Formats: sequence, structure tokens, C-alpha cells
Amino acid sequence: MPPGYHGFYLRIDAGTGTATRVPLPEEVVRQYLGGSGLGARLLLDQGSAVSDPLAPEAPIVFAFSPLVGSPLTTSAKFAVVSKSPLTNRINDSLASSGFALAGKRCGCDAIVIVGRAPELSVLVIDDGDVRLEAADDVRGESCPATEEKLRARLGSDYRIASIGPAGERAVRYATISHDGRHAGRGGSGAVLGSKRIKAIAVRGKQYCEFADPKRVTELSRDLSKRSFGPATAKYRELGTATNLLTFNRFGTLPTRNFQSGTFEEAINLSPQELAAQREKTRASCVACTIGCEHIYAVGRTPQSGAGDPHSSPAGVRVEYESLFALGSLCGVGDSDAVLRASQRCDELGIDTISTGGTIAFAMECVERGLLDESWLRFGDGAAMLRAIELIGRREGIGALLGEGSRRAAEQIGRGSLAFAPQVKGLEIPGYEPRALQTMALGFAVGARGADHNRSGAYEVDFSDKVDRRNATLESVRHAIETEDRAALMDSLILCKFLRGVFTDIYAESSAMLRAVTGWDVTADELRATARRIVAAKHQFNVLAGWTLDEDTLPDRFLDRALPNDPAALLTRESLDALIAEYHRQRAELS
Amino acid sequence: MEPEEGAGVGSLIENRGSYVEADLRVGLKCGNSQCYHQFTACMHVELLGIPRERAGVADLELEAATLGQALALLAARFPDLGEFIAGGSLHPSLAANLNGDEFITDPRRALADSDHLLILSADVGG
Repeated sequence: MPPGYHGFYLRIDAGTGTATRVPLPEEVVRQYLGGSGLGARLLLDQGSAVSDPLAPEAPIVFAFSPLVGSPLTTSAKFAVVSKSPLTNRINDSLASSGFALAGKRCGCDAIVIVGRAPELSVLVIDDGDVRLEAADDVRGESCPATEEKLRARLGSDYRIASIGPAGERAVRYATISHDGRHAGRGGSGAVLGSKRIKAIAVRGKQYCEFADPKRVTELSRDLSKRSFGPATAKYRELGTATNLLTFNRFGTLPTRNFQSGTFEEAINLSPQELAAQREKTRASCVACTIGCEHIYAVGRTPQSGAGDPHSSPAGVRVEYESLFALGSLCGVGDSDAVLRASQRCDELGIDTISTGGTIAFAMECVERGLLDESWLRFGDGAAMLRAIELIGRREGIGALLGEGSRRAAEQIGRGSLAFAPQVKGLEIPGYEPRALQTMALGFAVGARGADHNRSGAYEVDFSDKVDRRNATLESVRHAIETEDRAALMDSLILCKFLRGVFTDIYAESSAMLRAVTGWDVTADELRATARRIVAAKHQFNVLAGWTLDEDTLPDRFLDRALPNDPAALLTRESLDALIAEYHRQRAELS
Repeated sequence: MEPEEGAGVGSLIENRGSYVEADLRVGLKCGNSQCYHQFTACMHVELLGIPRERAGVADLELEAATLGQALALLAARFPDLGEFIAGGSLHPSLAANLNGDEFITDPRRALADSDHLLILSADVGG
């Protein structure tokens, strides 16, 4: 096995608490690298596409990568890959940071967990030795509290990934949390919860060598230097919420369950306004030089003072997607309610996008008289917070909303599926598809559903390469390019916030990979690798029952212009043509 | 008066430094929409995201004939934007949009009176 890899994955049976070290052939890691790619390949090897994702036999993969443990900035990341209980399709979610380093030091390139523990347990992996411990003392605890208690119990050198109460109750968009960050999308927390694993604690001492340590150091220094430049300024200075007002200005900020692209209270949610009203600190993941985390005090406005009962000393890390989903999408302009909602999602361990999307859908159902929950209204921050608590406990309406918007619509019926904001069951992130039509294509064809991290096509829409409101077949190759780039970055793994610093990401990535592994890998090989990884995810979905008709958008987005922008019209015929061309080009590339 | 082959208007502007604004106001109209020496346009410039943060203003009025000239003026007026503007062009992390409709990159792109130029962060998402 080349440097950068251990050449094994740990296959753990949660039912027995036993582990097997399974060799990983070099050709497999060279073809799929690590992270999302390796995870997809291991899932295929396990034959899990036809399994119920919440069944004991369904595997969940924690995949590291050859760059994990290197000084390359932002490389301390891991991918969680499984079949999604929300979509019944493949799901890969990434998170940072110390868990990736400690997990890889356990002497493995991935951890595959199958089976179901006899009781709620903590899976402890100590330098490759595996055991289950009782989790009674953390049952029902929030993600941060679970990590804190387990570090106190096991020792501060353990790194812990955990689920919150929502994962224990199999909310279909439950997350896996580590150090305040989440493998957020698609319900991997529910999969871990179904195995009765409350948390995974890892520590280890097994380091991988690099083929050319001097070159790795040189490349790392260069990349770190560039990561301080203009390409990442927005993450450092304002965070991912930088363009919230830009989206509003362009009429692309999804509002009130995608009924509009502008939100009259958007200014309240902007990072500039949040910073003016609150204490703010910045933080970064381990081994990251960007520092995108902007953490705002909750409840501590000059108006409310320190006596505010909702004041929280911990603060909340604010992301664009959380602000959009729990703000404009639910029509909530009270920034304190939005920050508290985001914080509660993090504590309960639920994905903010799917939470906001499902609640916004329910609010519209109430508005249309389809759901008898008159308290749940657009713009009511307290109602949104109440709904989040109910989802986390799966009580009352929370039992239905914990299923996600597609399943909720299927139960509510009466045409509500037309405005359930999802693709393949995954709630749509904060990009209005009618006004960003290359992104619309990316959403429609995404292997894990509507997703902005596996298709960065919104960047294309905000460029001179396409007409964002009138996509043509020319848009397709751009969408494919962003999808391929994401597949590469999610498998190497490098944070996508670095993407702007690369002139040619394939060439530069091949240089990094050569220095770490010693392979004579080229840019062209990595292009082929990225396509292979996209194809593997698609192959999983085909085995799981994918058909072409699920590559689409809800009726709401088709054949009717966005109300605030008559030029933002996407016809079904046009979208179908884009999708057909996408699959034609993908077939040609494979 | 076409710009010399291979030498963009942007670099011409940059070389002229502080004389740019005065030159523009002379306005030698030749009828060529691609020409540097045309009448300047008085336009509204709106800054969003990092450009707004760095400049400290949300919008302003500007006189320029081309995108490159407008950007050069912005760089001169707001030094903190300097690292994003070189040779009359934007760093790829920023984008320019005309009237909310069209994204533009060519520094020679002519601007008209009443145009609304938006400067924003290009890699838009989270």
C-alpha cells in the first residue's frame, strides 16, 4: 500500500462489538481515493443498495483520505456514506475535523459499521481495538453535551462523533455531529441511531508516512499562503452568509417555501447586521487556515441585555444555509429566533436545511388549509422553534415533520407534493431554481437529491458563462464540471472553500497526491477518477431502484414564473432537455 | 481609437493612474462603442458582500465609459478593494453584473448612462 494509506478498513459489527481489519487493494484506493469516493465504492461492495437504510445490516461508512493527517490546509475531514433514510438513495456527508485525524490514526482508511447494538452504546475505537460501552448517561443528550460527557469519561484525547436526540428517534434528517460541525444532509444520524450507536469515540497513534515529505511541506506552505488571499476573503470576513443580501438583491433568496425570491426582512439576517447587534467570534476547523466559522452570541442584543432568558454563552455558528432555511424560507426575520433555531438544530442533531424546508412546507400547508396546526404560520419565530422541538422529540406534528417534506406530503396528499421543496426527498438548499437554472439542473440530477455541495452550479449561474434565467444545453457541461470537481474534492478530501485558490484543481491535486502517495498520478487521471466516483454513486442509485423520472423538480418550479421575476421561468420541456443532455454527456464520459 | 492589440484598456487605465478620471471627463466621442475615448456614462454602482464590506459603502455614482474604467476608479477610491482589481479586471472571486441581468467580465465593455453596475462576491454559495 502506498504512503498516505494504511491499506485496511475496519469492519465493525455493532451487534457483537467485534471488528475485522479488511485489506483495501491499492487499485481500489487509487480509483476512488478516499472520502466520498471510497465510501461509495465500499457501499457498493457491501451490496447495500437494496437494504432498508435503517435495517441492522445496512452499512454506514466513515471514510478518511490520503491527505488526512498531512499539513495540507483543510484536509482534516471525513465523509459519512450510507444509504439515506430520507431519499433511499446514496448519501455522503462531510464534516471536519479532529475526528478525521484521530480516526485515521486508528490504523484504518475507513470504518464500516453494520449490525445493531443490544442497547444504546458508545462505540470506542482505541488505536484499532474496538469495544462497546453503555450510553445510558448520554441517552437523550444533545450533541455538544454528549461529546463533553464522553470526553470526561474516556479522556480528552478521544475525538467523538455523536448523534443527538433526533438521531436516537430516527428523524430522517438527523445529523452526526463532531466538534460543532455536522455531517448534515441525508439522515446519517438516523442510520447510526438505528444501530443504537449514540457516539463513536476514536483515538490512535498510527501515522501514515508521505512519499515525499519535503514536497508535501512545500505544497502545504504554498496552499496555506494562497488560502489567506482574496479567493477566501468572504469566508474569513463575513462567512458563508456573505451573499445573503446578494441573493435577495437578485431575487434568488428562497422565501416562504419558495413562493418568492425576495424577503423583505433579509437585512436582519445579513452577517453585517448580525455583527452589529451581537458579540461575534471566529473559529476554524483543525488544520484549516481559512477560519470560516462566525459564531454569534444568541439573545445578547444591546436591547435585551445579559438578562435575556434565551441568552446563551455558547453562541451559534452561522451558515448561509441555516439563515436561509430557518429565516427567509419560513418567513422569519427575527434574527434571534433564527439563531436560536439554528442552535437547537445543532443540539438536537438535525439538518438545518431539511428542518427549515420541512417546516416551511408545513407552514404553507397550514396556510392552504391542508394541515390543522393553526399555530404554525410563516413569520412566527416562536412557532418555528416549537416545531423544531417537536421534530427533535418526534411528538405531535413533529412525528410527521421528522419524516421530511416528501413523506409528509405523501401523507397529507391533496396536491401538496407539488410544493414540497425537495428532490428525491432531500430538501432544496438556498438557491431559487427558476432564477438559477444551471443550479436547477444540478438539483434535478444530483445523486443524493437537491444539493449545493455536490453540484456547485450556482457559481456558473452567477457568471458570464450562461444566462441564469434561460439555461441552454451549454449549461450542461458546466454543471457536469462542477459536479466532477466536487467529487474530487470530497474524495481527496479538501474543503470546497479552497476551490477559488486553484487555477487548475486537477493539476494541483495530482501534485499533492504524488507527493503524499508517490503515485505518478496526472491531472487527466484525476478527471477520470472524479467521473468514476460520480458514476459509482449513480450506479448505487440504479441498484437501489433509481429511474429517470426522479431526476426532476417539484411542479412548483416548472412552467410558472417566479412571482417576483417574470423572466425566471423554467419550463418542464426545457428542464427535461437539460436532463436528457446531462445523461447523454455522462454516458459519453463514462 | 481602438486599444492596441494585446493591450487591454484596463492596463491602459492602470498605467494612466490618477489621470484616468480627468481624461474620461474630456470625453472624445468617436462613435465606436468599444472605444476607450467615448463619452463617459454616469451610472449607479451597487456593492454587495465583500466589496461592500471593504468599501464601507453600499452604493455610489460613478462616471466611466467601460467596465475596466469603472473598476479602476473603484480601486483608486477604495484602496481596500485593490487586491480584487488588477488591470481593469476583477479577481475571479468577485463578479460584475449589469442591471441585474447580465454578468460581464470584459474590461472594454461599454457602459451607458443609467446603467446599474453591481459588484459582488462571485463564489456565491456556502
